[in-house]
Amino acid sequence: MSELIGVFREDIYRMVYYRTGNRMDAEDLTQEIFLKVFDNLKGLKDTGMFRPWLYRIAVNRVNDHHRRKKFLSFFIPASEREDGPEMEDMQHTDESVLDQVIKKEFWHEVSAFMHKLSKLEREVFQLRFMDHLGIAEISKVLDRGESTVKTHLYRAVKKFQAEEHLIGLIRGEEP
Amino acid sequence: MKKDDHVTQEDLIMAVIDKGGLTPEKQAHLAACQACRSEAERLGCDLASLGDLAKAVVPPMQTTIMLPEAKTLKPARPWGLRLAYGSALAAALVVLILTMPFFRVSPSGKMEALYQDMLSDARLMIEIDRMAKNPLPESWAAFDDEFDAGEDDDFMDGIAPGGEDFS
Repeated sequence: MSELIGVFREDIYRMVYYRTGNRMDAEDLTQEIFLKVFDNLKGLKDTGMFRPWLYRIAVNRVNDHHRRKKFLSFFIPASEREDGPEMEDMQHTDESVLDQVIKKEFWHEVSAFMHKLSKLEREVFQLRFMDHLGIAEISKVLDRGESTVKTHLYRAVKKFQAEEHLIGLIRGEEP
Repeated sequence: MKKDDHVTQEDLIMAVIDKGGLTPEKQAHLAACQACRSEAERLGCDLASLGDLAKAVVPPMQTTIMLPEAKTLKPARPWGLRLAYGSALAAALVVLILTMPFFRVSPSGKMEALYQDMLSDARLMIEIDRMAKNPLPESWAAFDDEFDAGEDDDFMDGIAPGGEDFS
């Protein structure tokens, strides 16, 4: 199990961070995900299915996290909520201010783009291009047919093509 | 498809998502046409760079994953042993109930109610113990969570609208 953690720890942490934008939440959820994996690993019959199975648990835990946050938002005033990506998390000490500004802008653009996608489009896009899963794996993670995954991926990429500013940032072009 | 016809934008996207999804003619055109191939490669490169940049934005993880060590060393109890534990617990409960009247100081209605409460608590504890050991039937062992971004989310959107992912 410790070997599996060693292999997938960073991938899962990053996957959760992309969806929460918060380091502490990402660390806590990663811990929860591996505890769940630890508890249920014996039930996994086909070891070849481990990666999709792991991401499926991770996607569900992140969705639970968002539901909890939504529910709590009823009772906690907006001024007291800790919403939004914690940009200070991104400020690595060995980076120039320019790098930090570019990263901040990039993250802002990515977040804005993600909000233009439907839930399923967003999930397949992130799993494919940010978490680097294949179509067949995404199909298993989300329990949807491969054609459904491709259709939503197609729509998401089409919307991505319209994001000129984000693409400019990715290509390193001057604004 | 004519030789000079370039592939459409839709085909270019499909080439990036799943090249095998294109017809053989379109695949052949992409292989032969420098302009179309460059465009498809550029889109693929943008998407790959998005993933690389996103990776660079993530701060390093500062904690280590902790797993309950005791659990790793403890082998699962065999079914026979579980049954024996359950039977022993049930027998102890029966003995306790049968001997209760001998310890009764005042056989009033209050004591009777107390016995009933204790009996009910003991039954509950047995049930909890059973569920803690085996919450699901054996046939469900491989069951894992269903992806539920559909109806449940719609329901939650209804009772708790507002910001969510990437908030």
